[in-house]
Amino acid sequence: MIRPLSTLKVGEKGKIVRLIGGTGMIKRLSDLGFVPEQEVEVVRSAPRGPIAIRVKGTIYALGRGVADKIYVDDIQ
Amino acid sequence: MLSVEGLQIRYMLTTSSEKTESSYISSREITIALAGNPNAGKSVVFNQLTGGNQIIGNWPGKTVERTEGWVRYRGRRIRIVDLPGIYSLSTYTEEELIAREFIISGTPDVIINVIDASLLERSLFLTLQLLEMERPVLLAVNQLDVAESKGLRTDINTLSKLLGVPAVGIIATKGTGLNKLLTTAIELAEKKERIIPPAYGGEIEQSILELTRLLDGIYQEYPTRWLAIKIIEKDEWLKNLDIPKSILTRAEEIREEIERTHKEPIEVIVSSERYALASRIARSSQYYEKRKKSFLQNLDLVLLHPILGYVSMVLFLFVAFVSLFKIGAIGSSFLEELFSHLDPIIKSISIPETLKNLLWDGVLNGFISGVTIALPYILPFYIFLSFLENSGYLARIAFLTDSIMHKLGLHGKGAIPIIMGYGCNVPAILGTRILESKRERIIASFLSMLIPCSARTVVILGLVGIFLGIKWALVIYILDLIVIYIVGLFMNRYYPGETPGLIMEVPDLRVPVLKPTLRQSWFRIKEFLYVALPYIILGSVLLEIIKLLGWFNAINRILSPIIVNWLGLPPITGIVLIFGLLRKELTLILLSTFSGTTDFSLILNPRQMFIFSFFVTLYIPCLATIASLRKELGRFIAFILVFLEILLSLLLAGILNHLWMYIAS
Repeated sequence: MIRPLSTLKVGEKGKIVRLIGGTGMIKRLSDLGFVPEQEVEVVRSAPRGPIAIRVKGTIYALGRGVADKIYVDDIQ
Repeated sequence: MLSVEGLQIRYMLTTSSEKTESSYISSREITIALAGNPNAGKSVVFNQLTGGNQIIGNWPGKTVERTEGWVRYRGRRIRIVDLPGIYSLSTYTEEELIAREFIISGTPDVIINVIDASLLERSLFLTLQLLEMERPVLLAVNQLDVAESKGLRTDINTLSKLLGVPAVGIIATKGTGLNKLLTTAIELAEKKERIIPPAYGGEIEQSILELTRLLDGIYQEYPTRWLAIKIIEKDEWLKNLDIPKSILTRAEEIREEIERTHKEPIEVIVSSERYALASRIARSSQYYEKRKKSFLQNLDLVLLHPILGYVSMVLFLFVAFVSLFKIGAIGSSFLEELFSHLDPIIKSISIPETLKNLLWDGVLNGFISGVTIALPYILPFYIFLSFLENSGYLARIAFLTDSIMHKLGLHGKGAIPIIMGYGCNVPAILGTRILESKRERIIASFLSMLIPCSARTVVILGLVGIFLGIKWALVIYILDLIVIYIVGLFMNRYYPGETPGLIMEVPDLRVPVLKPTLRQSWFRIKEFLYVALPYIILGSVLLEIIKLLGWFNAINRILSPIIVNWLGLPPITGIVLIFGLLRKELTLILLSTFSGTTDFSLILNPRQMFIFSFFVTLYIPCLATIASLRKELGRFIAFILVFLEILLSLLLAGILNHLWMYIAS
């Protein structure tokens, strides 16, 4: 099921399918490794607060608004 | 460690706007640039090579300017340039612009690309971009020990072969491999071999090749293939070049076609392509063996926890605050005791009375007060600050405070410069460069100015803490945070603009290595001894001169409507507060030299102590802070912010004073 990254629970994993938003933000995210097909894992998530995501071995803190714009799918 | 005899260092800071000194570089001189991701260890390598005192830290955005140092190695002068940490060369953060500008026009002989072996794939993303620029790259594969502890074994030879550039394994914190790194860099600089840029896959590679053919021979000073990639990426830097219309039109067609097949914007496709190659190389040169979660990884889950995280943050800061106060108070009384024994000996020296006033009351008392009042608080505080920087905890605080910061028009990253403001407001204001917009920088700068720096901490702890008790000192800190919060709310509300979302790396927690932590604290203390102490002594002497000239009462009379009537302070504090413009701790120190005692209860009542410290915490920033405000945000905004701060402090301290008197009566 395709859904925003922000809806994943702690410990859940997903595969990035799409980034939406302005060019600047998309560029920054994709340079950090948030690219289609990439597997991501939610490490920490505070209600309404930012979420911590593990991508390629690094943990990134993403504001909720940012995580809303990254769409992920289940991993087969 | 480097065993080079007589390491000659010249250490300096330059901004990106300054022209490089290429004309000075003789054949015996080599320029080495250090490039790499934030936290890869560039500054550690820099410090180890040059003996310089570049501040290191485990938080993103700490090096926002490029730093240069010189090292003499085997009879050569080598210039080493530490570039800011970057993830990529194609986005437009301040750090990336500085780094890119230097690589393009600073023409380093060698770029040492420092990479974190435990984050190989992500690091190689930047490496590939450096190779695209076809400059000699030497890979310094750092933090091999950290990678090992995570179960990652790196095959450096394979890595070197796949990338087509030399690679050296190092552990920068221990100095391992740095000698080899430097020798390899020199060899590379002499060989001047052509770099073969990496080949990507699919349509991207075909498009690059097509554009490369079209561009062939038009620009001599830039690698053609690199230009082709930049054209595909629609890089803004290309505006500097006058690229033929026909090529741009063709590029547009190619781009549209690629975007149509991939159904993604071009920047995502290019990044994916680079990551695909980085991933292939990383997989072939590194082996992974599953390890159990380490203690620090488990601790991290607590520190980032939605409830436990806040509990541990408050607990941590509280314990730090209390212990800093206790250590400071003990040190202060110990030093006071020590100097009191020296006192009669020096006083017995017979010299003319006027000179005695100047020397004894001015110079010596200034020195003694500076050392006994300020140093005991500043020293443990700096060690604490280094710990905060090096452990990676700052990024956790940024994560936890993101929601609160959003109310103030900032995001979590804004907490980093504000917290650094507790050390000194100057680096805090420079540090606001990690924020994306001018609006955020202005808000964060103003809020940082309201943070009690170490100098103001001296006043709060040394006056309120000692004479009214630590609880009251804590009240000032909490009041200050409330003021900051409300000011932030106002700025967010009445200063139109949007807050961009948080995107920040949370680097691994690590136990700070003792030596660099102490070294860093020592550099900051040295700054206090060499820069602040002379100011303190100078201020103290000036005050004596003013007293001798008989201007003292006149100045205090002029200020008395504000100082006495509005703030309820004794008249002598007027002149002292003016001197505080130089350094904030001067206010307390001069009060002590003036009254000839460190027992402030003789000259101030409890209300006055509290109001004085509260006012010193908020009123006009010191000269160094004003200068950095001006440099970073321009004269106009600096003026507005300083004016607002004075107004705010007078308003709040005055109201508090009258409220206190009203309640007390």
